[in-house]
Amino acid sequence: MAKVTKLYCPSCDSRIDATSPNSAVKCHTCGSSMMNADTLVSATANMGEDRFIDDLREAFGFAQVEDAESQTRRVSINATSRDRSWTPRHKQNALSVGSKLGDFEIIREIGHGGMGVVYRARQLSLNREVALKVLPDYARHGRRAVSRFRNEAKAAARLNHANVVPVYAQGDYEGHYFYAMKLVEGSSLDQIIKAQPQRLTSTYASLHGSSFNLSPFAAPRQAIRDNLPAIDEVQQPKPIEKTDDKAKLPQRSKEDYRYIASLLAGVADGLAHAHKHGVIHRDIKPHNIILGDDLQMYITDFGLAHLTSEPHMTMSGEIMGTPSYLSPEQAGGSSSKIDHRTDIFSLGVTLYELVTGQRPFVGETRDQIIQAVCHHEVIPLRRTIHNVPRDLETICMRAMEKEPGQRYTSATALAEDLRRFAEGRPILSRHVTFVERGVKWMRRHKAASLAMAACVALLAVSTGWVASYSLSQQREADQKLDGAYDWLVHSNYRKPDVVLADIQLAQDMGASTAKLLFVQAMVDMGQSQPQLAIEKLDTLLAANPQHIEAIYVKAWALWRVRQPDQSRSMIARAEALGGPATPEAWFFRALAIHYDDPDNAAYSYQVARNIAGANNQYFPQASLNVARAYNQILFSRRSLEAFQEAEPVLLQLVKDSFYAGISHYLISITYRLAAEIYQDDGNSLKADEYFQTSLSWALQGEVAAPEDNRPPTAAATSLERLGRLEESIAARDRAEALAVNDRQRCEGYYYRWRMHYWLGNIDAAALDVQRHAACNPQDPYFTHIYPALIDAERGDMTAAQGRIDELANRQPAIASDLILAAAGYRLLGMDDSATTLLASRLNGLTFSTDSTIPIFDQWQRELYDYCAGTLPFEALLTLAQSSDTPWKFLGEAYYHAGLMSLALGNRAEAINNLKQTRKSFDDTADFRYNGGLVLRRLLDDPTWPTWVQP
Amino acid sequence: MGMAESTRITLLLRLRDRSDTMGWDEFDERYGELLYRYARGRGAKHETAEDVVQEVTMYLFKAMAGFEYDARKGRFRSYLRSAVVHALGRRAAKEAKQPIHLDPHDFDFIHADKETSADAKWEREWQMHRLRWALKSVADEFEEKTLEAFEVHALGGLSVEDTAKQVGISVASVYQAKSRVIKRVKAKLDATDPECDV
Repeated sequence: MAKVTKLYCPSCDSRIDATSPNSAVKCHTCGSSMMNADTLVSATANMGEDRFIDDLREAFGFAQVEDAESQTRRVSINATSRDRSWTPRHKQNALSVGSKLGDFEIIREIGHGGMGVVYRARQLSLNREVALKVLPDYARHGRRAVSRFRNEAKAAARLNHANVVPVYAQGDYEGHYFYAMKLVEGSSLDQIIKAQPQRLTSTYASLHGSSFNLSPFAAPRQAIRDNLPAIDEVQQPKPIEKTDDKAKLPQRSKEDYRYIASLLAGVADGLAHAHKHGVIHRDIKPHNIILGDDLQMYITDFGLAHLTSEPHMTMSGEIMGTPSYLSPEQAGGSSSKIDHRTDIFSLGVTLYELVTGQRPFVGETRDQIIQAVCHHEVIPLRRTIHNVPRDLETICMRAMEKEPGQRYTSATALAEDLRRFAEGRPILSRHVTFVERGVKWMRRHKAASLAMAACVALLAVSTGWVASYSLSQQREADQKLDGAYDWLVHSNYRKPDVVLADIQLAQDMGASTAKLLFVQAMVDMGQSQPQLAIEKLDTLLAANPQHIEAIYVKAWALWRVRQPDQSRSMIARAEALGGPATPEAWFFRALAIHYDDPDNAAYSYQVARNIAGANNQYFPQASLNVARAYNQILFSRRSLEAFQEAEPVLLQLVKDSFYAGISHYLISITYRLAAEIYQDDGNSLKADEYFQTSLSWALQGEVAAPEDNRPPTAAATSLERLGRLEESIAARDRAEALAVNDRQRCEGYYYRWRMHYWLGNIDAAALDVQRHAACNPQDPYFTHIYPALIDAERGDMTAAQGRIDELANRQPAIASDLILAAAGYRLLGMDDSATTLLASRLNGLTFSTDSTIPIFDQWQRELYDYCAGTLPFEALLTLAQSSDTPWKFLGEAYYHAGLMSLALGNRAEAINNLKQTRKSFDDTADFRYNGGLVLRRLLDDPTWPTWVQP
Repeated sequence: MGMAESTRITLLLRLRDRSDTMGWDEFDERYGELLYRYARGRGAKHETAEDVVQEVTMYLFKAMAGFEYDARKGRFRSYLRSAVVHALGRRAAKEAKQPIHLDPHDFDFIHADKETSADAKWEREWQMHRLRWALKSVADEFEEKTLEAFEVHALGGLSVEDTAKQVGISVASVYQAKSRVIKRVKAKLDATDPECDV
């Protein structure tokens, strides 16, 4: 075909006509020598098409490169592009022997699977052999997946544990992502299950020099060894066929089961180590566990599972492995619920298969298997293999509980039980009876199983089946407490529900008192019952006065019950005893000073986190609270600098998604606080934008953590600031529905009533005020002032005045009540009543004292005088300004000034004064709230208040 | 792909719609490559480019609630460019250890349209982006083997014969695959206003 081929010069982009496709050509425009047309030129002479294809090649990152060996041009993948995920299947060219990936030289391929190809390779700089896992060119996974993988791999690379295959290096080279691991000689468990189940016997172990030496008889070593198949190459994934061939399983002895348990205890240890570093494996299965020739267990492929969990990856069954080992929360797709207990489940499944030779969840199709994982009860091991010891069955079934909360709370606990079983000691887990299993099943199938309930009950009575407990209750109790402590202190004290059952059980079994009291106090804190926590801590401290952690927790609880001075003296006591020495103590210290001294708290949280890191412990709660402390700084110091500190910490938390609800909530707050700072500075454009962003985070949080009441709470606040009151009320309603305790509900009423009030939904407002008053009967605003406002709004001025009268006459009389009553009168337009009240009651009045706030006594006195009309406003302002914390006082001063203007009918002045209440931002921000309440009403309705004549 | 029919507008709407959690991922899937390549084209290293993509994605995500979309003005396209340019600038400043004012919500730069037209690199990358978008949009219409043949032969440059062998189809089918896919992609592009954001 003699065709004129149209080409484009790569240098200057002008068109060139080449008569022969195989000859070199020159560009007439710029003079550069043109590429050989061999592969560049397509068979068609359509010039538009050639150009078009070139563009497409560029768009998808294919570029022409010179291939020195073949003297031809080929198309390779351009290193600056990776996105070719549109192609359903992109074939990867295997790396040939001797080819190099950076520092690594390929020796040979030793296996491949969905996750990539594994090579035996030599690391040139260190001259050592490694297992090199190369991902199928990572374009296929999408850039985002690779980024996430990269982060996980980095975390995995930091793991350092005898049961985790060490990762030496990871990186990318010309579009290939690779991962260099220690070359472990051994076989993966799936190979062993399939081909060499005898390797899982104690006899084999003792022959190969295992320290596990339970077998009393000594067979001629060499003879047995000779009969074993050769040990396979390392990490050689092979597809597993169905393993329902029971005949293959050797008859196992008790020692064999104990040996298997001892092996898996090592795996659980490895997992525990990873979990403490915040790494969840997510894909524990026999394929990823290697029994080394040294008879050690090695977990491999940490950090790789994320790739298969990418949504677009799951579309191809070829890429996804079997779902048989997924936890119900993984199979059900609720990724937000996945935590370390997912690995515990998968290890349970692995144990099941090792023991019985069968997988617990089977099905013809992927969907059927997933159904089984989510809904089918596991057939107890002893029904398949009769000589499986009951304790081993108990361990396995507990690890495989469908509800994560019912499983072992940690891999450490699982390891402990496995080891106890292996050593012939009693295990700590309770055997779950047939009856209990029935109950569980019923919970999942409530409607369908009502009929069955009667039968089960009958059975229970007739057999007299009672739960059997294992021995060594004290130890079990303590271990349960340790698990609870770990959860409450390191992970999430705000979710004590997770460990309540364990604590109860521990208590029933007689756990040590001190430990129990401490853990219970933590639960109280998590349930917002600081008063109860204090009682327990007092008991604990009476017996053990030097318990530093308890002292700090008590200081924290005291702050929560608004006893700042006592809280501070507790902290002083702890510091006098030497201060915090453990990460936990640093953490509690930070909690105690969180509001009082947020800078110091931020530091203290960071110390907790850092020491914990050095001790190889994992302390996610400390990281979370670093961010919370920054928010507190932002709130109290009103500085955008703190915003810049807080933002990256929070973005990281959101990305880690360990605490989806609270991280979104916190970042929403961060933006809202920044918005308020802009608002105070008069930058309303910026403020609005930041409020919008704050809202957007909160709404995303509602999606990410649909069961958490904090994101809708944050959304409500942002919506309120944006003036979208109806939506804000709706968000409050959502939060109320999700609230788990009265404190949360009461907080909702606190913010919701005023929106109803502003919108004129007076009945709804009245109801919320009433509800909040029920929560806080000591709060005169909710018991007197707001009800009076509502009465006034309804036109019942007599009732309104009656409420203020009641406040004014409350005994014993205190100055703050009287000042507030005066404010109440002024809200009702009764300036004279206010002035008269204060002037007539001054004699014999005691002013409350709070020595912790400088000038507070003087302040109360001067405020009283100002409200009584005997002190000029300037004097009050001067006093406020002279304090270290003027913002604590300025809001209050302007609030009363505003109400005085209001009572005298001067709306404009009232508005100006009330606007100044924004200056108030101590940790209660009462005057900001109260000033804002009146201000908004004034701004929304030019005729309000109708009962005051201008 | 499933998103072949979804337009940019619906993506943006969905980004704003809290009930749709896919927004972020989808955004990354659609624009990540464009941003990455542009960043690399401006001399960023791989790691930096990744960071920049993530940063821009995050900014956009955060700003979405307040961002009014107007396809006619090509506003989104210039917004994207400005965002990536600024992210690169911040990164460079950081690397140079210069004090900078970090302000993710500096929306002034949205209007820097004049500068956009002068940025040939961006224009080129945007064209590449449109090509990718077009091909991805029509990919669903073809058999896997057709696409594979197209990729291996038309894009990858493998000879017709080798492609036929590798994919397991006839030589004629390879030619056909190429011309059919190209025809569809072109038609898709012709049906889309070049000034419109995709």
